[in-house]
Amino acid sequence: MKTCEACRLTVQTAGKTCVLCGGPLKIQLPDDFVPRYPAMDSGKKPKTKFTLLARIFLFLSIIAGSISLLINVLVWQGFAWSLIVVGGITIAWVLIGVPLMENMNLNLMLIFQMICVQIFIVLIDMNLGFPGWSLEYVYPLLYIAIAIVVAIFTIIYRMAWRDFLVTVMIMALYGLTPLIFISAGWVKVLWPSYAAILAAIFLSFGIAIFARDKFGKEFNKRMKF
Amino acid sequence: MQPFTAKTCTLPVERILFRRWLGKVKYNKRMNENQGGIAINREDNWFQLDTAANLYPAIVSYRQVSIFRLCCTLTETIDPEILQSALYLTLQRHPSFNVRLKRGAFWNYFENNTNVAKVTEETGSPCQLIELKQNDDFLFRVTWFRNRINLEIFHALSDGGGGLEFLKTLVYYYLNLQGKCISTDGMIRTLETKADSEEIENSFFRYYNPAVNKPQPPEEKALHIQGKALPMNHLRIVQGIIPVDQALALARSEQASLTEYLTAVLFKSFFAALPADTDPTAMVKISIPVNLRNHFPSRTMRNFSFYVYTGIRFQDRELPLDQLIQQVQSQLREMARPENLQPRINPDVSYTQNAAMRIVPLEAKNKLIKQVHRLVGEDLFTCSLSNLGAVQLPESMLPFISQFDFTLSSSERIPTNCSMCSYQNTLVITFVSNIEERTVERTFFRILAEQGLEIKIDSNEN
Repeated sequence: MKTCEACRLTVQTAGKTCVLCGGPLKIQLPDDFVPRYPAMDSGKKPKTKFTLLARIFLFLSIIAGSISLLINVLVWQGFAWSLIVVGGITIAWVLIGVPLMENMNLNLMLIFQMICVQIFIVLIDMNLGFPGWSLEYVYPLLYIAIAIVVAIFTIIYRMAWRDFLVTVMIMALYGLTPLIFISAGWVKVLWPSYAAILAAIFLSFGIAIFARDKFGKEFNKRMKF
Repeated sequence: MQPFTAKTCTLPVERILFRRWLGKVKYNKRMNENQGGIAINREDNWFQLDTAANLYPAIVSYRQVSIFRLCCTLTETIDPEILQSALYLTLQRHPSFNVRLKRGAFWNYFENNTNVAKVTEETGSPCQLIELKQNDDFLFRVTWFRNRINLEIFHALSDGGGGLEFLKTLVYYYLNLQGKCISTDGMIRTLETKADSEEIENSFFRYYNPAVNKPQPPEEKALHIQGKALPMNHLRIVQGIIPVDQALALARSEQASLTEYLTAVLFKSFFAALPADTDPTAMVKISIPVNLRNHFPSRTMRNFSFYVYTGIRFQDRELPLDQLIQQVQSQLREMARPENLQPRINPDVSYTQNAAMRIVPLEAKNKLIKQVHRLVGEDLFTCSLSNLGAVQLPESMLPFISQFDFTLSSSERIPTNCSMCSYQNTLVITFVSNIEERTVERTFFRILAEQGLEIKIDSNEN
C-alpha cells in the first residue's frame, strides 16, 4: 500500500512516484503489489509497411531509371529504349511489391497485375513501331492464362466465393476487350483473340449455371444504395 | 437464503467436463443450423451499418481508433482455453458481432465472418487500432491479463450498452464452462434465449419520426487541451476506484446525480489544465453520451446512443463547485427531456435517407464524412464523459467477479477522455490520455479526495 501525500490518495503501482503528480510515494504497508496491466512497451512494435530494404530498392530503382533516361537522351539514336527499362522496373514493383504491400484479394491482385503487364507490353510494342504482336498474341493469351487461374482459385476457395465471384465477373467482362481490337482492325492474327472471347463466354456461363443466385445476392448487397 | 461463495459454487470435475462437451455440441449444432428467427450466421447473410456506425469506418486511423474497452476482473486467474470456448458460444448468441466489414459501391455493410475469433493475452497499450487482417476481420478483440477479461470493440459494431451485453454473456459462459453453479435469472442473453431480429435492428430507424421537427441551434466550438504526445500511439490509463456509496452520498449532498456532480468536477479539472491566457468567452464543453435504450425501448446490440453537450465558459472558472453543478444540472436536464431527444435522432437518420447522399459512391461519401468530422465533429467538445451506469448481474455470478471497468479511446483533437461504470460498491472512473500532461486527472482526483472520498489510483504507467 502506497500513498501520495500531495494528492492524498492511495496509489497502486510498482513505481516509487505518484502516477498523478510524480511526487514521492509513502509506503505504509509491505508491498504486495501485482501489476494489473502489462508493461506499455510489451506489445509488438507497429510494423511499417515500407521497410528499409524496400526503401533501398526504391532508391536504386529511381537511380537506375534516371541514369538510363539520361544516357538515352545523351546518346540519342532515334529509339527510346530507356522507357522499356523504366517500364520494366515499374512492372517489377507491381509484380513483387503489390502482393507484399496490399491486402488485396488474390484474384483481384492477379487481375491488377495482368492489366499492368498488358499495358507495359503494348507500350513496348508501340515503342518498336507497333508490329502488333502485343495485341495479337500476348494480350489475349495472358488473359486466358489468368482466366484459368481465377476460375481455379474460385473453385478451390469456395468458402471465399463472396470475394471471388465479383472478380470472375470482372474477368468475364474484361475478356470481351479483344472485340474492340478486332473491330478496329488492330489485329491480323485472329485466333488468340477469339480464344480469349470464348474463355470470357465460358466464365459467364459458369457464373450463370453454377452461381446465379449467389451472384444475384452478392450484386444486391454491394450495389445497395 | 445462503449466500453464494466461490468455494461452495464449484461443480465436481465430471460435471464440468460434461458441460464443456455440451458447449461444443451446442456450438457445432448452431454452426449447422439457422439461429432462431434470424439466419444471420448463414454465410450469405448481411446487414447494413446502423445510422451512427456509418461515421466510424470513414474516420478511423492510428490516431483516431474509435475503440472502447470493457473489462471484467474475476476473482481467479483466467484460463485462456475456457475463455476461447466461451467466446465461441457468445458469438453464436450475438451474431451481430460475428461479422466483417465490407465495402459496397454506396455504403459499407456487415456480412457474416467465416473466420474463428481468437482470444489472446493482453500486451502493450490498451485500445490500439484493430488491424482487420491481423484480427481475422473481426471488429472486436478479446484479450486477457491475469484475472481480467478485456473486450475492445470498434464503435461501428456497437456502443457501450451492446458491448456490455456481449461481455456479460461471455463472462457467463466462461464461468459456466468452468463449472460454476450460476444461473442467468433472465439478466444474461444466452443461447437458451434466441437472438431475434430486434437485437440487430437499427433502432434509429424505428424511432425516426420526420413529423417531429425542431431546428437545432448551431453548436458553439469548444476549447481543446494540448500536450506532448506519448510515444508510439501509447495510451495512458489512470483509474480511480471509489466506493459507490460514498460517491453517491457526495452527489446527493448537492442534490445532483453522480454524472452531474462528476461533470462539474471535470469542468474544474479542464479549467486548471488550460493556460491562463485562454479566451475567457470560449467554452469548455463536455460531451455526454446518452443511452437511448433508456428513453426509447429497444433491445438492439448495435449503436443506439448519441451525445449531448454541456458547456461552461472559461471566465466562469472561479465559480464554486456547487454553482457549476447547478449549471451542468440545468443544461443536462433540459437536453435529456424526451421532446428534445426525438428531434436529435431525425437529422442523423434523414442524412442516410437523403436521395442525393445515397447515390454518392462510398469513396466520395467517406471523404465527405471525414472532412465534415474534421471541421465540426471534434471541434464541438473538449472531452467525453461516458457513464455506463451500474452493471447488474445475477446474484449467483457476483462471488466470482470483483470489478468492471470501461475505457474510451482518445484522439489527436481530444487527447483525454473520461468514462466510468460501477459494479456492486465499486465505482471505477477511468481517464485515458495520449499526452504526457496529467493535470486533468490530477486535479479531478484531488478535488474528489478533498471532498473526503477514499480513492485508490491505478494506472498502466508507473
